[in-house]
Order: sequence, then C-alpha cells, then structure tokens
Amino acid sequence: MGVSVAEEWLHSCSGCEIAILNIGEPLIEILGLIDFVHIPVLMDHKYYGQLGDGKELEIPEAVVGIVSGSVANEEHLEVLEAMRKQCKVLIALGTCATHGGLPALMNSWGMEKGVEDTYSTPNTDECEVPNHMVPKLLDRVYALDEKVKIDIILPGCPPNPKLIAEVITALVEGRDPVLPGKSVCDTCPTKREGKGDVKQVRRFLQNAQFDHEKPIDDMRCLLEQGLMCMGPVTAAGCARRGAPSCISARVPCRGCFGPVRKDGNQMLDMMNALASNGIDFKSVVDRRSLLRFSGSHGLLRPLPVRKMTEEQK
Amino acid sequence: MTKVINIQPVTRIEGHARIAIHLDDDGNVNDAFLHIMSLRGFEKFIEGRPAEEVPRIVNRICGICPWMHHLSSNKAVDGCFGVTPTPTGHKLRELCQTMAHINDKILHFFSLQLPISFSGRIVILRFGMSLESLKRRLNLQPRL
Ligand code: SF4
Ligand code: SF4
Ligand code: SF4
Repeated sequence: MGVSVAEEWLHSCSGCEIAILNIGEPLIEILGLIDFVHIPVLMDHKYYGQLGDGKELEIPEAVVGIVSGSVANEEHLEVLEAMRKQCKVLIALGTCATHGGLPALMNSWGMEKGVEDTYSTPNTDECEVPNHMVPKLLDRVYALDEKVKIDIILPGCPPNPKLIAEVITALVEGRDPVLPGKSVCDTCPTKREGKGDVKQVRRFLQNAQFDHEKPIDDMRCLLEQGLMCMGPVTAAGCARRGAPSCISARVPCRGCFGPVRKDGNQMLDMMNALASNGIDFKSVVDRRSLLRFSGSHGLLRPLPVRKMTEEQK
Repeated sequence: MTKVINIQPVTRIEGHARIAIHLDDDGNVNDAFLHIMSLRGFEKFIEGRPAEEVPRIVNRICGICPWMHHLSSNKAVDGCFGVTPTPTGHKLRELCQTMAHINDKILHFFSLQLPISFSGRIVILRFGMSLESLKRRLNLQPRL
C-alpha cells in the first residue's frame, strides 16, 4: 500500500488536475508510491455511495489531501471541511485555492449580484437563477485558508507539474518540499538596462520588440519596454524551459502565481514597483486586473454603487 | 414517495454536475435533472477588463479544453476591434485548434476513460485500484 491521497476540485476549472496528469513520465513512478482513494477527475467515486442513496458525504480517509479551486457555495464548503477532517496533510493546489484565482474577480460584485447578472446578460433570454437542488451561494469567493487550516500552498494557474511532483515526492519521503520563494523577475533572463525613460505603461495591443531569431535573454525587459508586466510582484515557479512561461512566449506576466509573499497584495505591490521605476501608475487602465488572480482574502470588494443624478440618467 | 437516483458528482468532466432521476411509485422515470452545481460567472467578471485581456482570462473556463475558449474569444476581440488576422495568424490559430483536438482525445481516452472502462491491469494498478474493485464498479447496476 502506498501513501493514500484524496483529491477534490471546488470552484475550479480542472486545469489543476490536468497539471497533475501533466507530470508526465514521472507520474508513473509516483503512482507506484501513492494510492488515490478519491479523485473525481480520474475515479468514479461518488459522494453519497456509488448508488447515491447514502445520507452522508463520504470522503475516504487519506494521508495527503489535495484541493483545487476556491470556495463559493455551501457544497464547496462541506466538501472542503470533509477533506480537512479526513486528510492529515492538506495541500491547496492552484491559485484559485491559494488566493481565490480568477473566480474571485466576482468579489467586485459579490456572488449573488454577479450570478444574477450572469443570468441576464443583454444577449441571453431572460431566465431565473436556478435555486432547485443546487447549493446555496456564499457571499463571496474565498481562498481555502480563509475557511480551514491549509498545510502547504502550491499556487499557479495552472501550477507547474514539476512542483506538484516535488511536493508529493517530498511528502512520501517525509521531508520538506523545496519550493521557489522568489519573484518571476528573479527567474527572468530578459535584459534590464536600469531605470529607463518609460513614464507610462501601455495596453498590450502591439507586440513587444524583439528579434524572434534571438533567445529570450536578448530581449529587453517587457516592463522597460512600457508593457504592464507583473513579474516584480508575482511568485516564481512557472518557468519550465528556462524563462517564465509567458515571457518565453514574449508576452507580459499577468500574475497567475499570486503574490510573492503569501499574504502580499499584488495591486499595491505593483503600484509601488511602478512608482519606484518612475512610471505613473495612473497609466494602468484596469487596476482591478492587478488582483485578477488574488482577489480573495477581502482584497477585491464590491465597488460602491454610484448614485446617478437625474441628468445622468 | 418518489425515489431519486442520485448521481453525484458526475466525474471526469469539467463542470461540476449532479444528475437526479426521479422515479414514480411504479419505478418509471417521472422526471430527470442535470444540476450544474457551480457557476463562476465569466460573463460577468470580464466586465471592465480591457478587451485584449479577455483571451487570457476565459481560457480558465475549462482546464480540459482551454484552447477553444482562448481561440473563440480571440475571434470575438477581433470583431470588437474590427480587424482580421493575417493569413499566417489564421493558420496559426487553426494549427492550435487542431493540436487542441489531438490533446483532447488523448486525454479523454487514456486518462479520463481508460482507467475505469477497461480492465487493463497496468492502468488500473497505476491508478491504485484493484481489479476486484474495478469489476464491482463495472457491474454497478442501479437498484430500482
Ligand atoms: S488555479 Fe487556474 S488552473 Fe487551477 S483551477 Fe483555478 S483557474 Fe483552473
Ligand atoms: S518585468 Fe517582466 S520582462 Fe521584466 S524582468 Fe520582470 S518578468 Fe521579466
Ligand atoms: S509569467 Fe506570470 S502569468 Fe505567465 S505563467 Fe508565469 S506567473 Fe503566470
């Protein structure tokens, strides 16, 4: 018997589970060391017995628990609490789980208002928000550690398969996993020429300047080229072929690994980073986007509703 | 009292779902529901984002097929800006779409279906499941 592992997905996209599969060849070795006892992406193990006639949610006991996705409704919460109860070590996998991820953008409106609006977009037929036998919504989207104790966080959208393999192997071997603690910039090979003459950042409507026949380390830093690149305020870990993933595709970082320090604020940190480079942060067109991946923990809140005057109406 | 056959959760798909089949007193199907248990609301939270950022947001609609969302939103953004991709750009997109189809099928067959559908021993052992438990799963008949 290997080390038992239970896996669950909550308010998520299943990209984190695909990242587990993308471990590739080493996964075969890892599967010799662990036994999945529950993992909806691969196994048909049901919540209420295989016939669905049970009364209680059944998550089997496991040494390691992995949960992806954030918490946005009562079912997510119930499953998360069951996972915490049944697993000795609980890992939050992916930025949805660690910092709310993209779904936490909904916190700019709150779940109820956001879902209501989703069901009444200008180009869909009017219909009611379903309320029959679906779980009740929470007020907003939460990261896992806002609801239960989390032992290891492994951010990334999606997370790097290599780091998932490292964490699982480390747990099986009974040692601490080795995870990067730096920023995306610290792992970025682009050329930095010091404080430049860029005063404003621009929208990504034109490509960066680079010679496509030359390697990444010949390209000038994208932020120094005037593109909003969130490398300075984003946790390292995505680099697979030398450079950070997006940078190696010659596009700016959007912050998908969440803040460098676990409880950092990517929006405030980015404003600081821009200011210290002499760039006017007012040139950032959509400041809320800086919290695109980390809007839980109360960072993204509903905007105050502006009262319109009679003339504005 | 009506009996409900509850399939919860539906596994190996993205889109957290539950199927509830309601039976009448004679055991015939009276009604059936597909409940989608979780809605993230991309339609709402892309509001206010710059259009060119949308393809890098909506690809997280589904981690099993992110390319399709990425490519179709690119098309939508082209429409907003009133531009058409160059012939090379167009070919590149088609190539991406084709690669995504290949990836999808491999993923579906080998990782999502095979471990459960066939008694291929190696696969089962790799996914930590005994042949016995697999047989039990395959013989599963809803008790009516
Ligand atoms: S972190 Fe990214 S890949 Fe993982 S579930 Fe969330 S959106 Fe999907
Ligand atoms: S700002 Fe972006 S391009 Fe520049 S060093 Fe950091 S990650 Fe690299
Ligand atoms: S460069 Fe930034 S946005 Fe791109 S994968 Fe890395 S952390 Fe994520």
